[in-house]
Amino acid sequence: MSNLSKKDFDAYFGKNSLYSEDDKEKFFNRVHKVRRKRHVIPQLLTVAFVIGFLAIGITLVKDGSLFLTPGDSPSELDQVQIPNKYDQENESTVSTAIDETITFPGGTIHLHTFEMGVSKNRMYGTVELEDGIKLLNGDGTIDIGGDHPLISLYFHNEEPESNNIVIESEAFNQVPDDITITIHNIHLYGNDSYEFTIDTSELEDSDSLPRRDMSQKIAEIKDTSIFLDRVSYTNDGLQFTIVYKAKKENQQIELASYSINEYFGEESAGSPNLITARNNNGDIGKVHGGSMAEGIFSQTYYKSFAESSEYIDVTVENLLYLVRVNKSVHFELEKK
Amino acid sequence: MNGNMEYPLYIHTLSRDEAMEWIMDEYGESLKRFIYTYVKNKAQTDDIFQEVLFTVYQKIDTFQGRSSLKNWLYRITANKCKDYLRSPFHRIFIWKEEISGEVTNSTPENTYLLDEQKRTVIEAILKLPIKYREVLILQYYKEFTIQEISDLLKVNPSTIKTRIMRAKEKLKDLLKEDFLNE
Repeated sequence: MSNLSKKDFDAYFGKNSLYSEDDKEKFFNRVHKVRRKRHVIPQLLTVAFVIGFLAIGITLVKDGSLFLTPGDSPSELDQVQIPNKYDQENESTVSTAIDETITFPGGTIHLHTFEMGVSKNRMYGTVELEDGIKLLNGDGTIDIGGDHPLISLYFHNEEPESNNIVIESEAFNQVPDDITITIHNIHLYGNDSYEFTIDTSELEDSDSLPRRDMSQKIAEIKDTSIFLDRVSYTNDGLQFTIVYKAKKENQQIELASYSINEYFGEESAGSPNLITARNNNGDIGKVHGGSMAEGIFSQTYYKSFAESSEYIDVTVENLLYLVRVNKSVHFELEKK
Repeated sequence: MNGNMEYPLYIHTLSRDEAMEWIMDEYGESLKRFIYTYVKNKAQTDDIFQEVLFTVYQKIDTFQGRSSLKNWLYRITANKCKDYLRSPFHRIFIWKEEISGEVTNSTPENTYLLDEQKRTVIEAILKLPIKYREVLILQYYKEFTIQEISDLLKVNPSTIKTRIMRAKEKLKDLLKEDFLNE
């Protein structure tokens, strides 16, 4: 253990395996809403600036004025303005009554109150869904206008039986006159399901058997084709992979390979994307692991379960849908 | 540490955008690797990294240089990861494998650089419960001192030492080997 070092971890991860310029672009797109041009400053000049600015920084520290005021620095700094009326300790809020409705396939969200706080903003509303449909979560943005970055918002329904929702976002850096709320995506789940059978006799010797690409289409639901893409033994056990392929790119509703849940008794019965693997003896398989990405997920069951089975019926129920809403509402805020 | 990149004063002389660009260039890969050690999933690493950046962007004005920039960034990142892992939508069971765009450690170069025993230890570390995993990652991978880990996780140093000791014990159990003796 004492020999383990940063170098070993770096070797484990490989060179620059995770971060790319795409991360930077995605971030700046988010905060500026538009594609950002890269600075084309020669490196030498940048170094000169750094040295110069460092000297200024040291001077400021000596003066006890590290945190800059406009005009103190040759570079412009964004200023954070917290209005005086905010009480940082008691989390005072300013509420605005609103009456805004956002409709989407499968339901409607009605927003009735926007509450502006020091540490968080909260929006209160209700959600009406078609019978049998439940809300898992949703996301969106708040635009406070000007060049200010979009603020992310996120909501989920902690009590599926209630139709009340609370949408939270980070606090504003300054009080805007009006805001635009955009709901981008909502995840809903209903009663749709699909199933398939794995014949374990086709998966004889475990470790030496390469992965098989079965490319077997199982079903088509919400304009999404479902494929059993691969069934194989890995070192960990029996693994299968499911691939979702929507008919059209960015279609309004499609199946979502997200929030995958394994069966663990009656408590799990209402979970979205609930996977149950039951063998010919009636035993339910225990999950060893799994993973998911956009449009694809895999599930691994203990090998002992697979080895004691002739065939395994797999059911995926309460299928989760991604609904692309992309609708906005705009309203003015109360100032006090 | 990251050599000459520890310049909080420099950060304060830059515009917010320039500071963010600098942070991403200098810390992007290491922060994402750190996130990966928590969630072990590339898509979630990407998402959490964006959330970390957004928080840094919003709070960079409040960074006062009392801790190092590196500590501050890692503290935000560790908190975001744990928020995510506590969220109701996180899958409870252990993630074993990535599907697409996976962090691969099977390239010939890596196989050559990393001996099998160390690879096994790293993989075992990544299987430990979060509270043990993070202290070992912070100490052995990110090379923070006990005091820095204590500041970063807001847990007192003696608790950190205990966690590291217990983490090693759990590793021994996992590995069933005695090469951990120091």
